Amino acid sequence: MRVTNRMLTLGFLRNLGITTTRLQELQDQLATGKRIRRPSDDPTSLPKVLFLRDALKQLEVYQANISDSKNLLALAEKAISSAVEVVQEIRQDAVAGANGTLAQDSLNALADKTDALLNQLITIANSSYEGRYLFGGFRTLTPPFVRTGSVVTYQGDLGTLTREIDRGAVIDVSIPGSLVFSNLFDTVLGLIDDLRAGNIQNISSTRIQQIDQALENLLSYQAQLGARWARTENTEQRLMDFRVHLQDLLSQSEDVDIAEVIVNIQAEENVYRAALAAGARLIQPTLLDFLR
Amino acid sequence: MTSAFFGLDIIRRALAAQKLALDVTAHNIANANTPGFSRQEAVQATTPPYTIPALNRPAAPGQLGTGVQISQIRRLRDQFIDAQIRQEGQSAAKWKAISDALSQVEVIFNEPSDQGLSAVFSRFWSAWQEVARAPETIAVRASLREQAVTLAGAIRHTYEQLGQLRDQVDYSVSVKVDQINTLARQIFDLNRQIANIEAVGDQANDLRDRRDLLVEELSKIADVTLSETSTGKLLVFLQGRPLVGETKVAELAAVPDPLNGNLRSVQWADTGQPVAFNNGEVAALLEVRDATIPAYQGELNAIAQALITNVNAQHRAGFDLNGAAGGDFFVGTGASDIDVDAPIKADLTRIAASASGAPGDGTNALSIAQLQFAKIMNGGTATIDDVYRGLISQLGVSAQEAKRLQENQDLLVEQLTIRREAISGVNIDEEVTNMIRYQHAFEAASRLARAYDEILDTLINELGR
Repeated sequence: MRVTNRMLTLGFLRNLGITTTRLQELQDQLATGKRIRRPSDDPTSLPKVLFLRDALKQLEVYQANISDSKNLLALAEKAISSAVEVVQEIRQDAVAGANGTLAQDSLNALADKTDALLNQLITIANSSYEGRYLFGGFRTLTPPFVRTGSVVTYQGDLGTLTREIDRGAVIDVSIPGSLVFSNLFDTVLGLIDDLRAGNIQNISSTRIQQIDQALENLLSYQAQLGARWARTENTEQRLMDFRVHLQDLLSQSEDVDIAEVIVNIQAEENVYRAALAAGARLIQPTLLDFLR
Repeated sequence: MTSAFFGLDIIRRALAAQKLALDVTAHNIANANTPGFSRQEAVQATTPPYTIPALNRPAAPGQLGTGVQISQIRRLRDQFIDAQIRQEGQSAAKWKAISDALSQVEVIFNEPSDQGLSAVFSRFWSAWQEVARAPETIAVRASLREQAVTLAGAIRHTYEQLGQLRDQVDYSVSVKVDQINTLARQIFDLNRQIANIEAVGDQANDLRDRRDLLVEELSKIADVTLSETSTGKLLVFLQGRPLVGETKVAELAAVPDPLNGNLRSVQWADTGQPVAFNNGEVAALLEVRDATIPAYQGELNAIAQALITNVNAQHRAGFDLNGAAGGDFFVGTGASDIDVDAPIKADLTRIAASASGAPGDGTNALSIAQLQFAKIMNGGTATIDDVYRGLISQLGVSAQEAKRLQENQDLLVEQLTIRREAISGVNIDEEVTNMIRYQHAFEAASRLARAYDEILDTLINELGR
């Protein structure tokens, strides 16, 4: 085939162009660390990359939900556990009152002490977290329990706060205060009345039994909260493992293998140098150089 | 016997022929880098020999050569390769235009990145989850509002940019139509000149080169067909009608079409008949403008509509922080005008996160967040994310395909160009060799002139003294 000077220079320029384009692509990959910079770089992997990114973002949300759930559950559990202690103290006083050997003065003193303990219980039932009440159902901005004289009113509702801790896994993270405390408060109010009235018979026959029931009620909710906390904790562990797995997959799909890219750059550079050297030899001489 | 000056005449012709051949060589070297130039050759042939057969021919042996002449100056060109280059160049230009447009669409969608719609959607749904977690808190509501405004803005912006790209492509159509007209006029002018020159028996080599170059340009833009008349005129047809005829040029016009959103339709300027293009740049531009971009806009629009309808429906089912029933969350009819409803922009308590009306209830916000995984598109078979990922994936496949086809076509054209170059290109070494050849022939002829001079000197001055 006839080879002309233009063919030589065009071919030289084309080869240089191809090599520099590839060099630029590799340098881009190295600078960004990403293999896919636009959809056409790898259309088959791209949906996976987008999906994994979404899934990771979603996991972040679940993890935030979980940490919030754990806080709420732990605080509620802690509140109930303090309530249990207080109720146990009240029970001791009730037993002392039911003994029948105390004078009315002492019974009145016990009544005053129980009254103070009741206020303490109400404070516990009105626990809040970040300005939101734990036991008010959905009415998180209103104190759940208000005492006016010998009546304790529940101002919350029967709503249960929920959190999605995994795809489709929604758990309850609160218990409406009325279920936990209302009976207890009524019982304690009754006990105070009995003490003041010296109605010892009623204390021993019904009040102590009611207190035991309330205590059992508290303990059962405490166990429930503990179990949910454990479940949440489990899910958290699982999601953390899953997250590592997803990140691994994402990295495989979109990250460049740095070592490979560097080796490729080296190889392209060699080709580039060789092309330049070949061009320098081919383009320069013509027959004219030898006709002097 | 021939005349005493017979030899001198041969020498005169030889000198003239070698000089002319040297001139052609000079022309070749001068145009070694001219685009479209094909090397020329001074074809040397013997002049008619002496004697011609006749009754009264001399008795001397014959025939005797009478020297050399340049019979023609021809260009070395393979018409078949030219036709192939035009054909493949047309497809190359088409795929380049499509590939360019698609890579711009890729830039507009900007995936995968933190600013792409995929990430913005993801942050929007997360913001609802945050509201579900703390519906009483104004701060998380504010963050949701920002994400929602960002999402609506991103959808609108993407849609708008696709529209702008469409306008750009539309403008390119009119530029290409102007180019077609200009090229057609230039080809028409060259036709006339070439016909005039070749009518007297000369070869219009350089003008033909220029015309071939113009035709090659024209073939990239439109799928024209060619036919050459016996007088050397090249007629150019578009969809069977002569664009460049023997006597006139039929121009094209790009006229805004009110039936197609005032986008330009290409038609014959005189009759107003529309012109269809099947290959080349204009065909590609029209396809991108009328099919590709509207398809992406359509999908984006469907996504926006599904978002507006479903978020609004769920939002209206809930209650805001004041216990009032929720209104619309988004306003607008699609991707072009989606926005966050003004009352929500103005008052964060209007976000209906609660299903019961109580402030701590984030159930409705959770339901909205869960729309992310709800199959609310394509007749209940796909989520918004599915559709969007499908769109991006389709874009990637199309862009990659167009790029590959363009590269393949380019390679093909390049191979053909090399083949043409092998025939028509100028090789300096070859020309210098020719130069030396002609130069030596010229010198030898000059030397012969001296020999004849001496013969004549002997004959005239020495003989009969």
